Amino acid sequence: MAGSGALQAEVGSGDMGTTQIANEVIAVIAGLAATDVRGVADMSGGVVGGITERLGRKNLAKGVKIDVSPDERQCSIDLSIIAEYGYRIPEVAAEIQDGVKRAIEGMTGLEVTAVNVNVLGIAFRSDEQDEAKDKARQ
Amino acid sequence: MSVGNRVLLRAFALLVFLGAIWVVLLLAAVEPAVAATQFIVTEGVGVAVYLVVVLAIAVRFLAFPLILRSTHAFVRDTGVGEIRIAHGTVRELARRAAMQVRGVERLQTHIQEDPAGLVVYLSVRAAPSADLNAMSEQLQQVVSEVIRGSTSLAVSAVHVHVAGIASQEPTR
Repeated sequence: MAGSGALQAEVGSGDMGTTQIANEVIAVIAGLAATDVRGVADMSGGVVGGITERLGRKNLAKGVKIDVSPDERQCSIDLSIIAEYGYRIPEVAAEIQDGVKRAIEGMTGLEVTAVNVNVLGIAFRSDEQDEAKDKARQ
Repeated sequence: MSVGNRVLLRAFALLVFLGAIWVVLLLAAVEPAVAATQFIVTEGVGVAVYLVVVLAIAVRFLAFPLILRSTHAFVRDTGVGEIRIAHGTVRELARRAAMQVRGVERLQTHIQEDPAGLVVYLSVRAAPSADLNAMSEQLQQVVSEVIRGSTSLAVSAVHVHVAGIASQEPTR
């Protein structure tokens, strides 16, 4: 899903050369920032993403679509997530938007024009899974 | 990945595996495989069924992501971008909340949008000892509270249709 466009972001150029960042890299940054938010159970990469993960390849860019503007200075992000039951979805989504925007702008220097969050499902977790996830975050 | 998709994926892998084994046996000219193939091809049905099943599963996996992307959603613009909550997500929330209500044994949920907010339709199969009026009132209250609390969407109505009564008490 990620890096579907042929464009890459060119974030710097000078006497020494240019710096380009692949869409896949931006997607991974966005995916990591999104899954770090409390209330996000998983990213939703559809059936194909699920098959890829079952084959053993952890896809950090799952559920992320990047659109880089033709001038390669701006980008917009589409994220598909599965929310956790018990959290307020608008608050979770707003936190994702802020976190993803901050992470991409901070790490790449690109301007993020939009972060669209698609909530495609709800996960009902057991207490044990909650504890494991909380521990992983600490 | 859902249980259904997992089962389909395994079935698909098994069918492709069996097909590949068959081809290998044919290429190696193993006599029983050749004889069986001649019989199946003459009859025609076996090959047709195999191809239809493999094709159907392949189309299901290839087309399903496109269908998913076109699902309806509640959209809100926050300035930073859009938040889209799929109807399926709200249905899952309503279902989860409704299943907690005493007397509900099975149910189907349906969501619609109207100018005043969203309208939830619940079709319920109740337990034999359930007080249907009390159950219905509780369903309306719980479902609208959970949807409002989780999504901040306005709920204009929750319609409950008691479609049936179970013959036995649930075991949960």
